[in-house]
Amino acid sequence: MVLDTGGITLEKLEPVVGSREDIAQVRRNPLLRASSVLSFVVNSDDMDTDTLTSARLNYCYVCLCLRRYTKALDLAKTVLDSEIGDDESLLRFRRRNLATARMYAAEASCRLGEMRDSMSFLVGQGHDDAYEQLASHLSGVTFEMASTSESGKRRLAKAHEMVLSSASAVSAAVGNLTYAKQLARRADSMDSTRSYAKRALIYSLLSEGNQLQACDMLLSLH
Amino acid sequence: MAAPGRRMRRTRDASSNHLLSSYDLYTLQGDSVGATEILELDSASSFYNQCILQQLQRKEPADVFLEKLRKVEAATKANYKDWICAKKVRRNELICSYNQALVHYTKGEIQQAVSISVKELGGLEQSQDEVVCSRLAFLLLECILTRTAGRHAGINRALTSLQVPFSIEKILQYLEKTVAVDPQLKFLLPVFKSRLAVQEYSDGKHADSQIRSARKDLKAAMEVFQHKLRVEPANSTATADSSEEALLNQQQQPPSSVVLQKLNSAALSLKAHLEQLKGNTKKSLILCSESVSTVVGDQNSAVSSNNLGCLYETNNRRHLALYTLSKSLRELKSEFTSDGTCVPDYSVAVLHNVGMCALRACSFEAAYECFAATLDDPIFRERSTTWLRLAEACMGIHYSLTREQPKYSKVVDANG
Repeated sequence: MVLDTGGITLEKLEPVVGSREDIAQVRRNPLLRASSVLSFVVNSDDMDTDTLTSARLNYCYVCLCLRRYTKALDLAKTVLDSEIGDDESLLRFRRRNLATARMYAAEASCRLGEMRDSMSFLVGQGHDDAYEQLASHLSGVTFEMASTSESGKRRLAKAHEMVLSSASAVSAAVGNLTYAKQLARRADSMDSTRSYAKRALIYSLLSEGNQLQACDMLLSLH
Repeated sequence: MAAPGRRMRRTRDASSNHLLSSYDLYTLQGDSVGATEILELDSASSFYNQCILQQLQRKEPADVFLEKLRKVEAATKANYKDWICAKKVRRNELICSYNQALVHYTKGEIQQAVSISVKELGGLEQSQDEVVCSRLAFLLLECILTRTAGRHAGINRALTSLQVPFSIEKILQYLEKTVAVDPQLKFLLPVFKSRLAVQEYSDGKHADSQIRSARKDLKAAMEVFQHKLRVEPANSTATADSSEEALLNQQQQPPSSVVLQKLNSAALSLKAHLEQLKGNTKKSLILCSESVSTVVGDQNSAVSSNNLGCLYETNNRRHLALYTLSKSLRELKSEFTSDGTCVPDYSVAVLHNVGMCALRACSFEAAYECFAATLDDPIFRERSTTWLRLAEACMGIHYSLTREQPKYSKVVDANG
């Protein structure tokens, strides 16, 4: 059997950074350059810990986009193993990095078929308010801040919607469709302007064979 | 932020007929044109001095100037056998080395500048000519700070990569003992201490104490400037009977030296930087404007535009920052000004700042091009953060493409 690549060939990275051909390539396929650059940046030793963490998270995101899930999971786990430190002024920033790493790790694990691991990254310590805490760390907004600021409230809602949508997708993949639909509806109520929650709900509906409702929902998206 | 002006040094030549010798005219008033006019061409060092003064007016390329300096230096040395005083010979040799190192620094050849400085400083012994050796030590610190900026644990890395056999503490200890002879040097020492403290702060080490130390040093520098270096205004009630008398009065006054104005301007820029780190943008802007107004000149304006651009960016006024930084880019070039101060090529650093602004303003393609251009400079090419920003610009372009072109996502999937 011959694999049909659909006429799309893998691109070769331009050798000279900043050349006309390189800039044209970056405009067309930016992740190729990003991946190449980040692969050696994460191994350099002239950055402080926070900058190195940012570099690893960037690389993790690029690997997820390029479907290099094993590499993405390794990078996310490296970030999760790092110390948060005592510096109060950087606590919110570092918590945000760790929350981002948990989200990436959850996605990578899910793609690799490791659903339990994926859920454990999202749920963390397993507290009742696990999703809320993850959303708060991800957005960098506490509930107290959200109650006094409209923009803070919007950011927290957006993060909450992302966390619940991801949890819904993992639950649906495991086969817990009722719980998955519950989470998707909760996510939609957080921020109905975005489509991730609706897509998670559509996935759950299709998984349980409810094509009609899924179709209605899909049409409402477009 | 701008560094205090580094100046070419001239050897002292004999002059008895003028109230101020050409050496004094150049050193005290920064008047290279006037100094050339009254330069006595009857001493061995005069041809060397003439070479320098002519360069400050003609502004030939740095390579040509360096070659000329070497030739004239060799010719001057041939005449040294006629001189009795070995100390004077050694002093002139140190001055020649200092000038060469300065030209290398202006060209961006940091390693060469450091090698010359380290060779002449030897073991940092105090028996050598203290004024010139202090200048060499300050130039060495300047090179280390240039190599350090933007890198984590930058000072130690710079000392290793530049093969400097002394620690920063040893250099500062040496300067503590030698700067007492010259008020300008006394002013420079706390300014450099302040800059070193700011670099340590950037590394995240004991942040509060570093900033306090930086402010304290800068305050000490400003006190030296006010009490030892500042120009006293002329007595306005005194009148001159003739134009010759007026010239005499002017020459006998403490000089309104452009060099001192530039040193003051640099200290004000540093103060503005400290205020910015404290989060006091308004005061920082005022200090930046004050720094601009103290000196007139294209290069100073270009550096100040860069500093203002950084402040606007901190204040989230991104497009104004981009406009101000692009203005700075247009005006910058590496050169020696007519008063002998050198301006290294800051254009790559400004380009990096433009890239950062463009990144934050979501102009990702422009940011990518800016960061790619900075890779031509070996200092920026060595920094991992430059590459990290390049990657972030790529990710920004990716994000824009996923939003604007739905088909783009499918292409990425296929390639991945």
